[in-house]
Amino acid sequence: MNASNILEFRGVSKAFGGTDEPVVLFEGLDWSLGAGEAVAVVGESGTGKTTLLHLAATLERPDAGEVVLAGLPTRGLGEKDLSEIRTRTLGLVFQFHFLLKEFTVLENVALPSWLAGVPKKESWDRARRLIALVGMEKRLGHHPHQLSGGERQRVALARALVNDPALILADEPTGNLDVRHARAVQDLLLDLVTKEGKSLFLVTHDQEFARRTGRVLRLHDGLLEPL
Amino acid sequence: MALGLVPLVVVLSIADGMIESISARTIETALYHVQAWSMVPTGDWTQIRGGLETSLKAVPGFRSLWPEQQGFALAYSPAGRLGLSIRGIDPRWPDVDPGVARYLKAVEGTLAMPEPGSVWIGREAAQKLGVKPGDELKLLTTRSSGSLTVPRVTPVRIAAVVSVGYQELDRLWLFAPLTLTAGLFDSSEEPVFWGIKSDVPLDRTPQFLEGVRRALGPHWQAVSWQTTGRGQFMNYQATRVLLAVVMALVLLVAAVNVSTAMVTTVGERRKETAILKALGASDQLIRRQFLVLGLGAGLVGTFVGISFGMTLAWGINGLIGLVDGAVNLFAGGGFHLLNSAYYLETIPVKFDPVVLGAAALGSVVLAVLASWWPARRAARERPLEVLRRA
Repeated sequence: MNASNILEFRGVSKAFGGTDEPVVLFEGLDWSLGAGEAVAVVGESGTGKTTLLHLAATLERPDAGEVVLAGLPTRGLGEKDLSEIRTRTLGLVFQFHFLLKEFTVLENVALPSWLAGVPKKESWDRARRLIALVGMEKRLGHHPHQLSGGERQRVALARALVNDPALILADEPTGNLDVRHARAVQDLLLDLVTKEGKSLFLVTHDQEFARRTGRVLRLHDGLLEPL
Repeated sequence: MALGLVPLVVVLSIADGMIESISARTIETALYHVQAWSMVPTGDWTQIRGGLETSLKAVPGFRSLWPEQQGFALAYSPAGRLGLSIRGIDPRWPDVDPGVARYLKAVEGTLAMPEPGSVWIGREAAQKLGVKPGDELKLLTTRSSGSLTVPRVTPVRIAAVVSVGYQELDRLWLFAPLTLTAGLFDSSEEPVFWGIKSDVPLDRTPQFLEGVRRALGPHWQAVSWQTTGRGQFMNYQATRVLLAVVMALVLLVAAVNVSTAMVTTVGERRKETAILKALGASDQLIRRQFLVLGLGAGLVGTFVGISFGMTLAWGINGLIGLVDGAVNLFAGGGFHLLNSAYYLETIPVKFDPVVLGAAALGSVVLAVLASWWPARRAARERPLEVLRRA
């Protein structure tokens, strides 16, 4: 563990199912991701891959241990501080796009920026730039229902980047896409690491996509094993 | 909130209008603003009137001064008999006092007392006794003579059938010249008092009363309409407060509806709330968002409710006329939604800005308060659970 880590798990434990018959996912897990690195976590369903990502995203709190984001320990922080960290440090991409249906592409992408208190004009500029980056510049005024699955996911990716996060957390970002669209989203994510210096924490079942990150970890029995 | 505000605005506007209208009629035609009487014998009222008037003219707001003697009589006519309050007045009263001229109207005959025995009788009383202008009526009064009570029958002639537009008063009164009542009643038991009219607003009557007391001196007793009509006005206020409480309860029910609607909205927007929280929206922001929604609903509902309520209240007489007309179309006439035995013949409406402002403010505050719990619930939403389900 060192100061250049963007994400650290320090002795993290997490179990589900209450005290009677708990299902232990992790116990004393230590793990880290360096700044500018990409890692893919693979594993069978139910092993806790998504929970691991949610812990990293501070959407879930560990039962023991702590998650450190960009050098900042998150244990004991209130919901307000965690929101702040999510807004400024993290870019979240889910398997489902989770775009707001009443908002246009431009508004959806600019939203996290507004939430971070960025002035409106700057938010629009950032959003336009990222929408162009994901190749959706001609669909600025469209609503999610007017887009294909791949296009929605590209918009979701642009939204995840609008606050210039150091760490992108992606949970099966190509899980709902056909091969061609999946490839385009993969390229975009990997370009962000190689060209923009972002860190990427990817959870996927797609072995090919995982391999492209350069570092693959398999989650098995609560342990992360290099593949 | 609109549904709760409409009855509140209508009921309170009408209640205020009716109270104000009845109060004005009662004060101008019966109670006067101030009543005064001498604690020492003063002799004939005609002799002291000028002096009193001169003294009272120095009191700010003084309008006019009228002598009156009141007593009770049993009135007989061929059609029946009825107990009446006999009011001995200066016959010029309706001609000179604009307050009386405004409210005391001759329904039949004219407001004049051409003979010493000419009287005006209230419309309801005239109907009960079956008399009209020109008819003779007999008044049975009593006077004490030593230890004896001596009855006396005095014939009078109806010069006018009058109305103040309020049936409660119209069935009680018979107006007679003071020269007549002086013979009917014993001045030691039923003395002449002075009714003093004022142009000051009713809420400044206490100050006017003080001025009258100072002007008349220590041998005079004076009380305001607030004392002489205390029971009546307290009843009005109690009724008004009761109505306001009932209507506030209606508003409270409306607020519960707002809360229910907000709970539904929060439920429907769970996914969006979760997305916003996952993207970094704070609990405070989510809570504020739903509170603003509640505030918006409250403002719109209040605007619609107050506007519709005022429109309905403003057109209430026309509306009642329409209902009467529609019913009479089938019933063949004679139907009146408002029974004139208990109400004014037309419903007066008063829009009190303070009442309307308080109702509007209360409505908006209630809407925001009703949104508080749903907003708090939304703010505590755990995004993960919702996103997992999605």
